[in-house]
Amino acid sequence: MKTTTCAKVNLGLHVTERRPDGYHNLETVFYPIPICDTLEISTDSEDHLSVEGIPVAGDPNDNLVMKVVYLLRNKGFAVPPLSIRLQKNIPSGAGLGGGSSDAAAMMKMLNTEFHLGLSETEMEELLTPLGADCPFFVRCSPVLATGIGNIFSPLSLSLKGKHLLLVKPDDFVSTREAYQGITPRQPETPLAEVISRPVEEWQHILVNDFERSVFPQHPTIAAIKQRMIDFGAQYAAMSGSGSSVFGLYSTPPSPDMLRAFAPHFVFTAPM
Amino acid sequence: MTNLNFDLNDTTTDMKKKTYIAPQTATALMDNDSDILTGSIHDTNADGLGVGSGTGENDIIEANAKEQAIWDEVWNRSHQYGN
Repeated sequence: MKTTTCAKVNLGLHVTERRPDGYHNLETVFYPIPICDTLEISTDSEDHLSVEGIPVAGDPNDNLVMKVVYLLRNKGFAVPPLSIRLQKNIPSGAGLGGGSSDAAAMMKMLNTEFHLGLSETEMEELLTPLGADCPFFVRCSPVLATGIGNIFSPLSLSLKGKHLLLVKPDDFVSTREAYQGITPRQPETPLAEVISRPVEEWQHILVNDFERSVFPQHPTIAAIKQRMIDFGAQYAAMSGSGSSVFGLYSTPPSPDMLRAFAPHFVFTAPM
Repeated sequence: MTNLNFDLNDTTTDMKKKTYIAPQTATALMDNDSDILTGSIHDTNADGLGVGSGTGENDIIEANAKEQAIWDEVWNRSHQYGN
């Protein structure tokens, strides 16, 4: 059985307060984008994960798709030994939710293949401990995320007709690094209100708070965003805590534009 | 490979530094006779018809059909909740 995953970008991100438990409350919009990994499973004599495409660092047993398998077995679900093939096309460490997306896709595929009988809500609950954004990828539909990024409210937001340009430099931004430079604050205008305005108005009002803490340490990321704006992006921003930057355009990016970002990972598609 | 690299001038072998263009965008660029699709297409095409002809085009069309199904699936799933 084979399936595809999706990825997300953050449309705005406000870090609103630090909680007593050390986490931060935030508000952001998760929006699905059409870059995907592929996952393929078949029963085997023992578990085996092979990863192709963009290299993934670390022990395969720590990969989120394997954690989903172990999680379901620990919960008593009959999941046999599996041969798993993961084709990575979504860059990791990009703020695109690639690993979380793989986890959700794995759970959905196992649910279908082995008739586990899990509802979408149940899968969302099971996935939450693996990552705050994991549940988003069960439905892969736009949401306003609050809490620590794990409380979702569906949004009737469509970027259909826009063209996405996604650029991921080699820079690695740790989540700790991104939060260190942040002073939590309540936004002047709630994100849900900002996002309801036309895309053409977003650039100066739809803000990712992490840009203030990340850009000074990673000028390459800041330069990519500025270049996207110079190339006519209706909106450009860093996704999550980086390091990818995305731009929304009214027309497909020109070849010259694509080549201007060529030293980095570049992806473009209609939304 | 889910996402195709249509820039035939992009000889980068590092997967983390390649340029990927979705089939729909590649088609739009091809319609505009863009030079993003030069390179091996022109190299394999001696009939002077330019972009969109020759062996390279056949390769792309075949890949498009295969990959389009995957993209359609992602697209439909992303927009099935009234978006």
